[in-house]
Amino acid sequence: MGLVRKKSAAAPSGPAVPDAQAAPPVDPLAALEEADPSVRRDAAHGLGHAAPPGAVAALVRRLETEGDAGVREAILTALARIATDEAAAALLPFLDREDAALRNAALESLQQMPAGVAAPALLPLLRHADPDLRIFAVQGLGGLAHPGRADWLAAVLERDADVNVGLAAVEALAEAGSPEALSSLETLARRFPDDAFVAFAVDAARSSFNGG
Amino acid sequence: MAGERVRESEPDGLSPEDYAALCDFLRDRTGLSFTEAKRYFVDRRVAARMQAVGATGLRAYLNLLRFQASGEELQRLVNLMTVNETYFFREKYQFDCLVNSVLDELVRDKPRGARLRIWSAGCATGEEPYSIAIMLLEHWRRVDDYEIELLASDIDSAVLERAREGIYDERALQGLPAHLRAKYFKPVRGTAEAGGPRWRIAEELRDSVDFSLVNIADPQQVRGFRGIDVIFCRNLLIYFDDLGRREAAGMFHDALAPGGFVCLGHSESMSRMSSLFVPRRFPDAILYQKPTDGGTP
Repeated sequence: MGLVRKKSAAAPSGPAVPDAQAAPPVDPLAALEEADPSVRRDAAHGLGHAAPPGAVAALVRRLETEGDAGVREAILTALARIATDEAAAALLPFLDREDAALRNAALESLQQMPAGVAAPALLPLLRHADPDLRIFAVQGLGGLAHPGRADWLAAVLERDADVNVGLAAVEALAEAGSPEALSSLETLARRFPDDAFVAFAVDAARSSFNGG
Repeated sequence: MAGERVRESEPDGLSPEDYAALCDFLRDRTGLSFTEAKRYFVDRRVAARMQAVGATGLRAYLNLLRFQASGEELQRLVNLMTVNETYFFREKYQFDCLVNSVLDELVRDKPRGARLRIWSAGCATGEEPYSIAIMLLEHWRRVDDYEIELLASDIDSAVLERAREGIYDERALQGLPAHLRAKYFKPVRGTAEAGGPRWRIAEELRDSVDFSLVNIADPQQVRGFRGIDVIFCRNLLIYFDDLGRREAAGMFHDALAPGGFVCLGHSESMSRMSSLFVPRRFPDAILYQKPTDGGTP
């Protein structure tokens, strides 16, 4: 035993070339429902790179019931790659799930879409009744390279009634280090004067803007 | 279609639109991602290939890349675009981790004689898989109790040929202790005058690494890699964009056996690519593990 001799001494084989005699190509939408998780994963990957009509709906339908972590991740990545308004909208309901891993992966998919697609989907969530969803919206918008980003976050600091949503915006602004957000930070500190953690977070953000 | 934005190239390099179209095409077909910062690097290589094939402009060249049945020109361009800077025992602490911790954990529930599969993805000219082979033979006391299959792949056909030949110069062997050089390498005659001395790795090692041409961005080409126990993919995913890295991580997850490990380059972090893996801190290094239950939600 020990190191196994390689199978052949032939030159390295080239990439697989589609064979005219091979089995007919599988319908990727149908393959999403196959029993073998690898087949479902490959189908999702393929749909991400070439999405026929109905692809987003089929991917989301599969995601609702998918029990394999690898397939689930492939579906979420495919939706990020498709990156249409429909795909972005289809991800929003998953931000409200009990399953934290699914919530986070859906948010990551939104952040990996072009900002022009993800932002219009996330912005309405800033007005959602559930503060947890508003926090997700802040985190999502905070990770986008979009010219409106600083203004959206500043508006949250100035208006959102939930201190945790405001703190999420502080964190997003501090990560980006945009000094023009300083006045909005001061506003948050004034709005929640008795909250020690707000004072601490605003101080930390202030010093990061000042190169501290 | 990216090609619809293409106009014929200007003599002083690719226009911004052409560059974007070419990058879109390369990312889609190979997973390789080139930013504006790589512009000069890409321009020069594409210009060289366009001249070599006599392409009249980028549109013609992109059509050749896209529709050539053999895929030969795309392969040539990819070979030029990928940098292969490596040497024996590079980032050796990760190989130490393999033989001091990871393999013992992997065989804990395997019977004597079971098979272990180790895959070096993006193996370039072979230093990584051959280093693994040497480490196993020299430092893993249970090497003879198991059947160990070493797989290695790269997207660049030219480097794979060199990997199979197993001939290296002084720079590639700089990290190898003298006694291991003496044990596993033989000087190649007549090379001392022609560009410095070179050594060929022992036939026993050349016969133990199975090299194959694989684009890890293409699931069809990765399908043969299943039930892998350890994947080394070091400093390869730096060529991918965020989505490409996420897809590659998913593909590794699919290729690994439950409980298998991925080893990334020292500056790479799986937690920034995918949540499918659990980071595992060993005395020598941090690796990323596929959960033993496959990560079922």
